[in-house]
Amino acid sequence: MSNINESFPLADVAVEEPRDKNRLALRRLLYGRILRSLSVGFWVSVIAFLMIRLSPGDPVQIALGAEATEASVKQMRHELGLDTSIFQQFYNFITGIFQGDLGKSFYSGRTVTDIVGTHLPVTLMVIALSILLGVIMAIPIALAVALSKNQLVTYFFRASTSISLALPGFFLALVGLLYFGIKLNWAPSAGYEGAFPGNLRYLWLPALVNCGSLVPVLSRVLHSSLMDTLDEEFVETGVIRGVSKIRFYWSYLLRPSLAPTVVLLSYMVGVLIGGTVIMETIFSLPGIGRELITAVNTKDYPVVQGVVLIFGIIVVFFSFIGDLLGYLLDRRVTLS
Amino acid sequence: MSEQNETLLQVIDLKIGIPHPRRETLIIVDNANFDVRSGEMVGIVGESGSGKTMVCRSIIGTLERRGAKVLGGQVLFGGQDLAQISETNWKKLRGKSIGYVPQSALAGPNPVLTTQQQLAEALRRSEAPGTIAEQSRRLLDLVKIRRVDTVMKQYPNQLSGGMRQRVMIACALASNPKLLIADEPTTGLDVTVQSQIMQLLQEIRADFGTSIILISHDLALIDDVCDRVVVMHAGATVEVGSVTEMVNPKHPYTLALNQSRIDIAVPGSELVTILGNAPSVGEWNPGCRFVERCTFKEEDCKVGSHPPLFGERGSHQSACLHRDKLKG
Repeated sequence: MSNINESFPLADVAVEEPRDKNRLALRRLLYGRILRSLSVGFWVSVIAFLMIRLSPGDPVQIALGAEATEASVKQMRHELGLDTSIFQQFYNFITGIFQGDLGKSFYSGRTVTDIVGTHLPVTLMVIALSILLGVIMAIPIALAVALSKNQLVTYFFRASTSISLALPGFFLALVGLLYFGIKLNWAPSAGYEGAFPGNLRYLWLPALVNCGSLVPVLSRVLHSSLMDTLDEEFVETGVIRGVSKIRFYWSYLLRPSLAPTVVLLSYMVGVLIGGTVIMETIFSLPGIGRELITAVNTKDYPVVQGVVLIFGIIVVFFSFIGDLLGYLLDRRVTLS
Repeated sequence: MSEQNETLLQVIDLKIGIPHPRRETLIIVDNANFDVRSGEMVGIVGESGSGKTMVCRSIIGTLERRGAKVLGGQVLFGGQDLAQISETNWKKLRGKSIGYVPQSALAGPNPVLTTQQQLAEALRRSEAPGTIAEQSRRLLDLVKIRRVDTVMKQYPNQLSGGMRQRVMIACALASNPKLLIADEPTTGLDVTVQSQIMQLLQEIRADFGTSIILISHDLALIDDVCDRVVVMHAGATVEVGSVTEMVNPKHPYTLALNQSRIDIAVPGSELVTILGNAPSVGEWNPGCRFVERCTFKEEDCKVGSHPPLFGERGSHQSACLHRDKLKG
């Protein structure tokens, strides 16, 4: 043994400087995401541009009605720039984006950026509230089930999350509206008021309905990560060191388990946007989703294109935030 | 050297089981018996499932979270029976006089804490002089980590396996423990790193008089570094003795383990393996649990309960009814 001692007097530290490595990874992530959002943005705008034009119906016909004269149709077509080739129209759309100009609504004449600016905050508020409520509910549920030694609790958890997932959002919304809105009168059944704390009474019910699908997914994923973590050997060291309860729950159970859930949540923002569009219609909220539905029905090309593009950017942005948060919580997550 | 003979830990007739609400309690350890004296390095050897790790968990008080329970026997340490301690009392006791180095270097450290944070946790109740930072540096020095400033800020996944295990040893030493339990501390590490870690453990023992329990399935390793050996098979201690005594085993299982050692195998000859597999937990046969694999078995081995350790406690003990047949 003494030979070994002489040949290996000290531990060899063959590691890179952590700071530089982290910084490099973060910078790479940032650049990668900027590139990715550009490409996603481009393809989303191509698809939005084509889809609305491929679907049947002519915006000018819809605007002017069946009795419009040939001349007025022609003139409006020219005014809206629809008499040029589809390539010219696409070129105009793309160059407009880079100048911050998403075009004007065919009908109201408002700029798309103005429409988005007025209505997007409502939608974002519903989404933010859904995420907040969802996380507040999912974490204690997953923790309680994971720590419970009773098998029945796990069965009940599995069954109830499946049922909740199987119920469609619009059904939950209508039941919620009948119960909380009309019977208990806890939430107004329609309408909206703009300022922040006051508008919450219009928003909490739609957000809660969104949680009907969000909480089962999040709590299931978190539960399974927690079960894996509980099996890990490092939990033993936490027990032995006798760390405080809060510290144990956070540093030894939740934090090593949260990353998959956080990343999933950020990717679910796209699904949440879809759900929120339906909620806005049912609850008559002046969100961007309702504007989008109206615009699709009336073939309001610029509004549809603009709003779909914004949705794409939001989804990419949230997935970036999710990956970053996952990495900050748990360094085992690799940034790619 | 007078301290050498003072008994620090006594595991007496320990029985551990996993209770089940509907089925019978699953017994995983029965008849575990051994002592650890001050400043001594004791190796516990046995196949997987022999209950080595469970015995250790009963010493550090983490059986409960794995669903297991002490059903009988005693674990005497510092005048207390650890087998009888309630969870609330464990909270005061843990991390004070017993240090623990977990099984796998890869899964041992908490992945979301930096070295600094891990050490700060381990040092929380330290009464040694100096700030947490100073004590942390001293501990890392002690386990011979060179670039302390770098390592302090690193997360476990940025460290090599050997480094992680050094950090874990540093954490285990934070409370200046009388007893250090290292549960297969070199699993998954390559041979040079393994010998460095073993070297480190020996130095810690020499410098601080810390008693060390080294769990391993590698008899050659235990032979190299330990004073005494505890051989476990199917949840029971089958033989206890000093490393020199173990050269002439008194139990057929130890004999078989000795014969199957790769390091002493004659080149060109076929490797000796132990007959059959260790009986699974819950499928123990009556009588001696080694009987199915034993080449010395007789009719009386197959009846009654598992034989106890024969001989005086502290001497070379064996749990074989026919131990005399093995001599010579």
